[in-house]
Amino acid sequence: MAKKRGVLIGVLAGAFIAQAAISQSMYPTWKRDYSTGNTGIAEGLSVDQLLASMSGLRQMVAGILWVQCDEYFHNGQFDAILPLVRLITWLDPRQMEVYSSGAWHIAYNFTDEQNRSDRRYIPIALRLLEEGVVQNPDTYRLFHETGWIYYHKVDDNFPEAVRWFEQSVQKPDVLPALRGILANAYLKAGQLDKAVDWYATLEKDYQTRFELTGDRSDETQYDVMANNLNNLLIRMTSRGVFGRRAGVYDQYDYDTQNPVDLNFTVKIEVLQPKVVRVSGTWGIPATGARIRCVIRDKGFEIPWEPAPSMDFELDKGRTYMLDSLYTQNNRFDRKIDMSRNPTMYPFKADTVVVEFMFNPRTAPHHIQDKVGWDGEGMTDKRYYVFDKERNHHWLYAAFEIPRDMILRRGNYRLEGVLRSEGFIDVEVREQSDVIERIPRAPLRN
Amino acid sequence: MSQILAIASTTLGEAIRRRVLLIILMVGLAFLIISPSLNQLTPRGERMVLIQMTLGILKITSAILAVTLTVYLLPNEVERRTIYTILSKPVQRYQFLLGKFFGSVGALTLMIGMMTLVLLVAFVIQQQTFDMKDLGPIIRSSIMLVFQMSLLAAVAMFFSTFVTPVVNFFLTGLVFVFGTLLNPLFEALGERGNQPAMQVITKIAHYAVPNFSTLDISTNAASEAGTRIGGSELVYMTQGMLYALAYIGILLILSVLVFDRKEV
Repeated sequence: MAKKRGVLIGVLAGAFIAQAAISQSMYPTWKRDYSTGNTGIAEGLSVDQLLASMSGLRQMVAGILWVQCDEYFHNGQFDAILPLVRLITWLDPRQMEVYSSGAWHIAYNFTDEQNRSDRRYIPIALRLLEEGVVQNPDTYRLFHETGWIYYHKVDDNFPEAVRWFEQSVQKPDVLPALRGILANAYLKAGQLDKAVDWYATLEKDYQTRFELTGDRSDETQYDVMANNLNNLLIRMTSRGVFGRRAGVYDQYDYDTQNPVDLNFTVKIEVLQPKVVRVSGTWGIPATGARIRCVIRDKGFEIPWEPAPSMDFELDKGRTYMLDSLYTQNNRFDRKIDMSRNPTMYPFKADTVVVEFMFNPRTAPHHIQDKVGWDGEGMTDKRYYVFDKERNHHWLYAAFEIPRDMILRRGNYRLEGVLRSEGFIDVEVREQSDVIERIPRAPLRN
Repeated sequence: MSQILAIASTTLGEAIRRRVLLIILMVGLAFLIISPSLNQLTPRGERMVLIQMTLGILKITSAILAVTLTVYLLPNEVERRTIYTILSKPVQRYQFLLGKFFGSVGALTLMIGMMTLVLLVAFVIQQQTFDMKDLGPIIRSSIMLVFQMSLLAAVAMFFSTFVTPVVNFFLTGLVFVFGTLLNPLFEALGERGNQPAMQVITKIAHYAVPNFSTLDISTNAASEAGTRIGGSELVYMTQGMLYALAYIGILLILSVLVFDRKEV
């Protein structure tokens, strides 16, 4: 009996060593594929949340909370969704749907009465996506979503959009149809040659795919890429990109020659407290171009980067309004009503800055045909800016107005108007607008 | 061997006839059938919520079944004095114990299998798909759940050799919770922690306590990442099964050693 016990104890010791060895060998795989992820993110969790996030039932709890989120969404209780999104991503950091939907919700859905989204939330959305990327580094999805926020919502930091899309397209599971946007991001970032290369790469890829699979959608995509590449090369030719590189730009007639003088003028008129009408003129008669208008507290600029911490509590004392002004027939005119959303537009700073910007890289093709990708075909005697290092020309005008003016009080009780240099009030035309042609450069003989 | 099989089959039959277990099973199945209706509330991420909810229900029900099934196995035999009849026959104590354990594992496997089948049917009906890319992670999670719950049953079996069923219930529950937290705790405190004493304790615990978190592969079943790692998962699963078998072996040997010296 004693001998039998001795054998059993020997087997016991062997099994114990074996299980420890197996457990040790499994741990790296568990950490890579099944871990709840970076526990550093869990800072600030209460003990029960931490335990729940580590326990085996966290996905189930996350699922229940996600259902609750949807209910809040349909009830319009947007604020209630944010802490739930935070909690779900703690509980189940592998759920990319929650990261992508959550970031979309944060960046797009907090809007004012005129459907302008609250840009102050964008750094928070970027932070949420950044966390999602850390937790899910092997799949394209959140890289693409982050790139999209920079590309579409920020609309002012295209090198960053390029950086994220470049990572997205490297992932083996990227949806083929989503890869084309990288070329657009290259164009908006001013990286024309990379856009050409990328279209060529995709064209070749779709051709190979079609030859292998015979799938008609691949053939269609091949045609699209070939067409895009051709259009891009034609535009680069007609806009003088190749001519400039060859040193013969001055010898031929390009639309971008003889830069159009934008002669930007604006009138900022406060109609009622926090209701501003911006109207003005510029040298682009064609429809389609938009001027970005920002009304913000002086000293408050939103850094288009992830927030330092995942805190949904915004500084509600800061104002930042962003709108795109539609222009037609050399004019723009828009009434911006910020009076109904005091939490978005508190106007607590003593000085308010009103900015206007036109970036030719984001303009439609028919505008770019005249002003060029980098704005080389435009100028402005007052507000023209040229970044020599990036070879980027744009229009930028900023005006400071006192807070009393935007609130129509004190000296501005009766009138609150600011006219830029050169602005001339004109009667609003009665007849319908006619789309005018952009003046062409005179042909050389 | 025939003695072990005979006891195992009797235990399996008893388990199937026990009303408490059947009620737990029915409640679990009812939840599995109801859970797809939750998708009406989630236009985005329906697949995710469906898998998360059903696998969670499966896990809870299985854990309750495993503990309830095992904690009473030995005490009931002693209380009803049927153990004397069995041990008076040419049956060794270890054969009795192993027979009981394998019988309960058989019953557990049967019940998890039934619930998985219901889960799969609910998934196929709800998602209108029969793609193994979607069903594979659920099936793999259920297979590993059988091993996870067998390990839990072995823990309960070990405790049942020297504590009362009520104490056993809580002790086993405690080991399950701790074992489920082991890897995350080791990751947070053992690897990155800044207290040397805590690091040593978590390292020892990590390799000594039954590690249920290692056997849980349902983490990714609902996510897109889950379908990606499918290939390498088979190797991980094999390792997990070996781990579970090794630890079950340890617990059964310990149970035999304790039960051998126990006065009944």
